[in-house]
Amino acid sequence: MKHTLPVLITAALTFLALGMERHHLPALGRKPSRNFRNGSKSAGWILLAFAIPVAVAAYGWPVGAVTLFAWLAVTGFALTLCLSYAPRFAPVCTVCMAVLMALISFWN
Amino acid sequence: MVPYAGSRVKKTFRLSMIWLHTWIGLLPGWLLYAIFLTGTASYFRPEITTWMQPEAQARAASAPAAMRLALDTLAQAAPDAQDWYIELPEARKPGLGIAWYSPGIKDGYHTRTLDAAGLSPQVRDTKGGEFFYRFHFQLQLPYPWGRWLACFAAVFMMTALITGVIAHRRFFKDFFTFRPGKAAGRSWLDFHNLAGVLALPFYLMIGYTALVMFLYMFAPWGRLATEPPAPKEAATAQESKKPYDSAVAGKPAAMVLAPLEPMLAEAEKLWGAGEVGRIGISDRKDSSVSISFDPIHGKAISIDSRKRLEFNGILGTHPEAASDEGKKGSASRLNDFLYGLHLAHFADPILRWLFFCMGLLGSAMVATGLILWIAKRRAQKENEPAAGPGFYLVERLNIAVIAGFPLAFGAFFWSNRLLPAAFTGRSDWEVNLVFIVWGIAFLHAFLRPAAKAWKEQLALAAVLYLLLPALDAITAGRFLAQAWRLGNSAHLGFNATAAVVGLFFAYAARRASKAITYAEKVR
Repeated sequence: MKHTLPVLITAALTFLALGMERHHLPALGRKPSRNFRNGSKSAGWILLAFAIPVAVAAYGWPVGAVTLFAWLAVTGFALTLCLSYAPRFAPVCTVCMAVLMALISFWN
Repeated sequence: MVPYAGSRVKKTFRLSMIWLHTWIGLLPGWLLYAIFLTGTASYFRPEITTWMQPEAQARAASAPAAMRLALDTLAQAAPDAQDWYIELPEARKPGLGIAWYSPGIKDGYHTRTLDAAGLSPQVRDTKGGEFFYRFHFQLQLPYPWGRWLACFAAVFMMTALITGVIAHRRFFKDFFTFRPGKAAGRSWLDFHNLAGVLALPFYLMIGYTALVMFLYMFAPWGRLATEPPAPKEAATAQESKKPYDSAVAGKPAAMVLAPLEPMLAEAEKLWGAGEVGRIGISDRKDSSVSISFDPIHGKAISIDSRKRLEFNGILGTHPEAASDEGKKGSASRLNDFLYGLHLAHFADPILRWLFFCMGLLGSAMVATGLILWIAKRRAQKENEPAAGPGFYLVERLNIAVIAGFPLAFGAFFWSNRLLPAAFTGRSDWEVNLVFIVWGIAFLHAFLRPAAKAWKEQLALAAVLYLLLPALDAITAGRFLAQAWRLGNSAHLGFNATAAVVGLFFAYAARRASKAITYAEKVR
């Protein structure tokens, strides 16, 4: 639970970013269709909404809310840097986060 | 649009908010930056102390054995002190600490860290992470002035945050956007917005909880009206007027204490082994001697989630609680919750790192805001021959604080490794050196051309932090090897973090020197 939260949030933020015309083009190399944009944005919001019960289940209400916001800020920052310096890698950010979290949970 | 023209501009709500954000952000900006950075470092207060006292790390004694050693050492070192304190080793802080307090004499509070044999000059005396923690809200100024300054910084911060949301309202359109290498402050503005928006809930939480923590300073009336002054405080205030020796002379030596081992056992049974943090023995000269056990912070947010355990020092029994004691009102419980939220002792390692990152983002938000102030005016003033004194002052203060303050931190860690352990007053000298280096950074920033001053201070900071692990290996290699063997993540993590910080400053210095060549080409 603890370790799936950041993966969910990274995926959600990536979908939201790919739903924006400005980030879609450099990340995927083509102009997005309106359907893709809307679908991507919806997927992002749904994943974000799904992250709330996951955070609460992992940490309880108070700490869960704090952790959720903390992950949003830090993964959002990392994703933005990725979109500015290496936009092609943006779609695989979620995979990187999943690998990182798998390593951390393995370490513990 | 001239949003900076001062009193002329009150035309619209948004323009006045921009004006307010510009000036409310600028005035306490340097202070806020220092507070943000030291607060960020304070998330790793015990870890920093662990790195700065490498001799004290190899400790695996059980709590009763550690307590016995501490009590024996205290009896030798401070037989006459009024209060004794013991900080038991815990996972995040492997050192065994003792402290004693004698009222009525100057500098009556002393702390030491023990090694396996008790008090030993081998363990270097240092403020460690405590320096950052204290600086965060006292700014190394005499009480209460530092706290007042920090208090006003918190008020200004909340104002700057709220006006900032209105001033930079376009951030939803620009979400996930950072355009490096754009001219005339565009990149700085992008970064300022990015850092500001992403961790906005964190900044609001930190600013608001800071205000709540300082409430007793700027709104003490409610408390004064409902709480009579504590009788014990009044007594110590009187006592402190007398010289300490005469206060002791007429009284018998320390009371015979009840054995502490059963009390410790009871505390460990209540909270679990290794969960006792601090033991206090207060009023040792009196028949009212009391012994308290405080738990280390648990997983709940509130600072009062686990209650202190108290004993009568002579009988070894629990004191009778007053009927209304221990029952807190909802306001008081909310206060404990917000206090705990600010301190973040509840955070597990991952969340603590996230807090650390958001603290760095906050520092970057303040720093880019300050730089933006200069960048905007430089763009406007390009055709004017000379900038005014205000511009000069802000420009130079930016260098001395944004680059100079972390540089002075670096000097703190270097002096910790270079000052010999037996050096008298070494923990004070570590702090003195911070301010000496910072003072030199101020002079340097005001005397050198701005672009060169940026580059040189950033480069020096890069060198200090990048070489810190090497310095550690040379001067404390024995302890570094031991840390590696024991898997002491605090010691190793500190070195890794220092290297990353050094890399960041090296990058910043490179960018600053590129900016110089760019400026020369334009000219």
